[in-house]
Amino acid sequence: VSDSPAFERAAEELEHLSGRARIEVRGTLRLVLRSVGLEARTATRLQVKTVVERLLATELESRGVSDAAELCAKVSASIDDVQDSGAGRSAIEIFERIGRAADGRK
Amino acid sequence: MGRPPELLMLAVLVGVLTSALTAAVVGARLLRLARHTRQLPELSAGIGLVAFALAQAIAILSSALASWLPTGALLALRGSYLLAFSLVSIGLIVFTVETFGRTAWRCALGASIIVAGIAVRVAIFLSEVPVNGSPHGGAPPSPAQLIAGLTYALTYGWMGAEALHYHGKARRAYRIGLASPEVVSRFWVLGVGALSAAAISIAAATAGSLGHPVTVFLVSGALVNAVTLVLVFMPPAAYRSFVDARAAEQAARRV
Repeated sequence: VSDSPAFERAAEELEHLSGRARIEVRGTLRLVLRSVGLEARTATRLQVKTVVERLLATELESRGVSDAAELCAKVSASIDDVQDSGAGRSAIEIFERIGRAADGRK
Repeated sequence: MGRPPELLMLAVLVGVLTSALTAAVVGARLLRLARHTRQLPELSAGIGLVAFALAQAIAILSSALASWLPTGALLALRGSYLLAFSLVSIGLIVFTVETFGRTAWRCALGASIIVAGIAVRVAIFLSEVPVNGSPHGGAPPSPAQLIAGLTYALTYGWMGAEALHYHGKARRAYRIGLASPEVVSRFWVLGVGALSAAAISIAAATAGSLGHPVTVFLVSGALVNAVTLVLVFMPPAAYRSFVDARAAEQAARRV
């Protein structure tokens, strides 16, 4: 199963900017997404962007990456034009959808 | 440790009816949502809940009409009851897998519980056990009934554990603006509610040799089940406002 376009773009950019191995970069990004209940294959642009901006820098610093904050800002900017392939399918989104339907909210 | 007195039996009936009616209403709403969204989580949960309501209705019917119906009709009722309970397990397991992530280990565990549950229900059907032999018939449950109850408890227990585990992740998502406090709280409610349903299933499976405490436990458990279903799948506006207000208060205290 392929990963979401936002994840792919963020991982490529992070790999390019940090000079770290592809497997390490993607693994780190996956771990950070999972820590907030998201999966790489279904994460939307907004979700990847938020996680990169709010959580990734700490994770990169703990792995010895210098200028992590600046790097994350660049990665975040790089996914601004990514189009999501569909709506998110995390448990959070499923519960939001079911909750909205309870009172006819769109 | 004989049969519970009339009043307790009435309380059980009220508890079961409340739980079944709530499951029917919530399940029907989920099925209606699934018709629009074409998504598996709401479809599977809807099927599971409607099947739960049907199973309870069949159990009540067969108890009430046991001495009136011919053997063939009773056999059909017993088959429908076991089929409905298999559908409950299938629906809830598919919901758990689809909601918390379709991974290989989840699919394997879910399939194992479903297969074990169906196998043991077929064994029950082929035996001469009454449709709802436990917990109120007075006779101790057969090993097959015990195993059926345990597979049912496992279904709920697994769902509850997944929901509580995910609740921690959802809280972190809330802190960075990726989840609302209401959604986060509903994972907790589902976790606690499903774990209590697992405990009830174990009590119900073993209740033949127990007495009044189990009956009281079953009634309160059925009511907890009804409240859980409403808060998780049909959260009322008042509940959402309450959770949002409490989250805003906590956020203000942190500032």
